[in-house]
Amino acid sequence: MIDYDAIVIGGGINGIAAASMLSSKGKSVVIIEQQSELGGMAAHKREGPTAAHLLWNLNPKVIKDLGLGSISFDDLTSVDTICVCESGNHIRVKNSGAFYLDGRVVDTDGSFRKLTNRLSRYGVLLKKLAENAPFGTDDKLNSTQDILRLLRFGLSLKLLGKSQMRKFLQDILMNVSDFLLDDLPDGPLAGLLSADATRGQFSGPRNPGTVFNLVYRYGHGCELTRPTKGMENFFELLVNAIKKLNVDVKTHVRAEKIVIEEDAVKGVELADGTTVFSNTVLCSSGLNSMKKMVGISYLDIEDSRSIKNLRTMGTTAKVNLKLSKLPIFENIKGPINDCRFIVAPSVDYVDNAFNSCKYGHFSQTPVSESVFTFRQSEFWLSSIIQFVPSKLEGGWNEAAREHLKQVLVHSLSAFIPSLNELIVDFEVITPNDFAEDLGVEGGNWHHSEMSLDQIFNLRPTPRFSAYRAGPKGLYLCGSSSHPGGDIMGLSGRNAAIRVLRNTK
Amino acid sequence: MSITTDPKIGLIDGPFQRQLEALSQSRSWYNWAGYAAPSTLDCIEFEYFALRNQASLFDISPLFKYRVKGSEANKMLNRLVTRDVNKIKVGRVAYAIWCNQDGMLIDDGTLFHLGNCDWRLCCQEPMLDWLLEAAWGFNIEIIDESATVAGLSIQGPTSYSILSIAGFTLDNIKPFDFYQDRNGVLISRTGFTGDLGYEIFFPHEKASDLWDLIWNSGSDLGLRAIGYDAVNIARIEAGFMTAGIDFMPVQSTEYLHRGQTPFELNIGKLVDFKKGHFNGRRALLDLKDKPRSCLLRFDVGGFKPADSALIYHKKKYEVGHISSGIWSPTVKKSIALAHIKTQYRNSPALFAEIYTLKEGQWIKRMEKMVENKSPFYAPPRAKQTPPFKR
Ligand SMILES: Cc1cc2nc3c(=O)[nH]c(=O)nc-3n(C[C@H](O)[C@H](O)[C@H](O)COP(=O)(O)OP(=O)(O)OC[C@H]3O[C@@H](n4cnc5c(N)ncnc54)[C@H](O)[C@@H]3O)c2cc1C
Repeated sequence: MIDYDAIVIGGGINGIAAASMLSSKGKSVVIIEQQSELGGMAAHKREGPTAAHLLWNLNPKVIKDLGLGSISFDDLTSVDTICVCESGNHIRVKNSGAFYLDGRVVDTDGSFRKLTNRLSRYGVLLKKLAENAPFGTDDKLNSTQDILRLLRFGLSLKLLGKSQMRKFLQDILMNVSDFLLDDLPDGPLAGLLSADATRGQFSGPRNPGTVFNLVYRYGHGCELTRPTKGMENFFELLVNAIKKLNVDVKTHVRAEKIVIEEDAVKGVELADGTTVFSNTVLCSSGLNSMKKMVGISYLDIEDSRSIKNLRTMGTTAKVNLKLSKLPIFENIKGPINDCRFIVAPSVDYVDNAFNSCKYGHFSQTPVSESVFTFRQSEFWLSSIIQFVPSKLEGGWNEAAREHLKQVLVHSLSAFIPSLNELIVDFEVITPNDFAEDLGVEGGNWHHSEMSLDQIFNLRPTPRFSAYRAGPKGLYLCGSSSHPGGDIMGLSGRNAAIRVLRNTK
Repeated sequence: MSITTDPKIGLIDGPFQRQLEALSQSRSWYNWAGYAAPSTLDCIEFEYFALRNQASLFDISPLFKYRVKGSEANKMLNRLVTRDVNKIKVGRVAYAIWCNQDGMLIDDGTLFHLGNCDWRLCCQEPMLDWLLEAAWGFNIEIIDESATVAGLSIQGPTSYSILSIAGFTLDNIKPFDFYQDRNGVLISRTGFTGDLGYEIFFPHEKASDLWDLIWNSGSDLGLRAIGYDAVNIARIEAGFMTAGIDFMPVQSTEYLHRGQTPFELNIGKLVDFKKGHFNGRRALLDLKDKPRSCLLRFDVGGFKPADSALIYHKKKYEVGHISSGIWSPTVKKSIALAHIKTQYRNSPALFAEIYTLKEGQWIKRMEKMVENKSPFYAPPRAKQTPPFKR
């Protein structure tokens, strides 16, 4: 008995991408989501704004599969960056140009622009790799295809020119601190890029591989946008699109168990006691939750060892401050909600903030990215704080949450002196809250750390890098698979392509 | 004997060092898992013939011994080993093998079902790390008993009578049964010789008392303490393979593809595909019909031990090698365990290329090999219950 061609567990961006890909190729699909709405980690919220507030890497192919060719300028608004400086003379970064708010140029010698251009070039290369399964994971049948792809990638490397290619290969494994400080003075611009590189990571700017993270983040040409009508509305668009594609959606029900017979997937048992039957299950939860649903007896020992050793420490918290009114910024032109505010005045500052995290604390001088959000008649200042450990010493109690908020407010007071008086309410969503609500270990931004030993063919584990895991018919489609997290959807899309190929 | 080479920082004394030291004429010690273990105590001929005609006493304390207990012990073990542990009753011992994810053999050993959800695993290779990995996620406990449980193997036709004199009632103990007394002494009817024999396990503190008890009980029945060299002859006669010699424990291999599947080692019948998932099952399903080579028993012509000889098909094409080869004193033949490439396993024209060096002269012989489907030596007394009193 079969109810669907495929079941997708989890309705985050990757679950949605996987379902739309399958459905656009004529498969019947259902998404099982434990939360009351789709959107996963990105759309997760309490009273205030969602966890994610910006679109870094939304992949055009994913949008196309969804039949949303028209998602464009009306729906997305481009976002400028304001680097908060203690001097009060903040810096605005717009289209990789950097200006003080009083209009003077920061980047007088053009080195910042050159650097960001270099990052975009690298990004184009990585994007090619991201839009496919990692090399070498194809089954033998398709290996010619794999070799062709490899050749094409080699060619695009070559086309960079000899010295550029060398530079790329040298840069990509470096730490972002060395990479930046070669060309830039340590200051707000270097601080900004090192913060962007390490956001969501358990690594500071001096950790190897953080250049890779920066390129990943700037993967699609450094262009930063936000959904014009808010993240909720953006996900509504996606949900409407998959419904049009006839994807069934079951929300508010947990997948408890993946039913296996004779080492093949037969369906999914839900928390409401019902079972949905299918020979193919794509799971977008974290690997530990997957392990629980499958049952460890169905995984090989090497695989359970890899899952045990996976580095999944979460480091990002969301703090939403509800304000009585909007603060006034005299020298910021244009709508204030079209800016993100970065507190990361230098590479050193970012590195210090990470140091606390290593030892189970959050920093008293935190790195944050904040945006203003208007919802109905409410004003919110919504911040992502980096380097907030899921394993906080002493645990995440009320006092710790209050403390985190105070630390944030104190650091933001540099550019909003009156902030404390404006706050009427606040909420703190810790990495642990994400972990508990979403079934993602540690509440990790990418489900598992994007470090050199956990990317490409090693992502999420060497054996699972072909999106396949354990019994026949089980696939991994969440951001713990290649290429990784962000509101991008490629992990889900790549997994779905693998399913289509295997069930042909 | 373990193939893991320990750094030579000096060998450790085992629980019977005092007794063995006193008996050692040959002073020939080797490294078994870090312990000073005797290759011989006197000379191999005396020791071997004591094993086959009277009784032999061999210290097996260096074996690695792990206790696996807890409510999910059976479940955990069933993922680890290839056979169905649910079919092993309490009070029974079973030979078991375990593989890695690619279906390559990690090691073999004996599983003692001590009680409900309580097992002991004995093996040649250190396995704590692997067992801890295998245990993750199960409600069980792994205890390394390697240094706390001592063992003696008493093998040979008079072993049963000696243990009777020592006061143990083993009349109903069939092969692969075990008996436990109240003092923590466990006697299983097992061994590595293919003969009538028992293995005795007990806490280290009891080592001296038990040695004395058995030693004194055996004085009129020809009991002799022996070293590994004699055991090695007996185990080849019984057709048993040894880790590091006849198969490469995959976790100790450094080159790719040096591991072997149970099907290549002729122990495929220990793989139970029907019991549910176990480690390596998915790979083994694929590999079971594609063995690259096969471990087989051969009678070899001539009288020169054929150890390490290369094997040729029609004296021309190299198709395998001998991993264990001896002159068997009991069957009076040259016998061997050999790996043969699969497509030649039924070849009627297999020859071992044997080199012997005598007083500065090398002589090369090509000796015909004939497969032997059964153990080379399997005396009926090994199976008889109760065994014959001497
Ligand atoms: C604080 C924070 C801020 C972020 N901000 C941004 C941002 O601004 N821009 C950006 O691009 N990225 C951002 N990210 C990262 C981004 O949200 C994630 O990388 C991305 O959403 C991951 O998508 P996913 O589909 O792989 O997984 P998820 O979104 O985690 O989806 C997994 C889904 O599976 C469901 N699930 C799990 N187990 C079960 C089960 N047993 N039964 C049913 N359902 C189940 C979960 O409820 C969840 O909805 C942020 C992350 C965090 C933590």
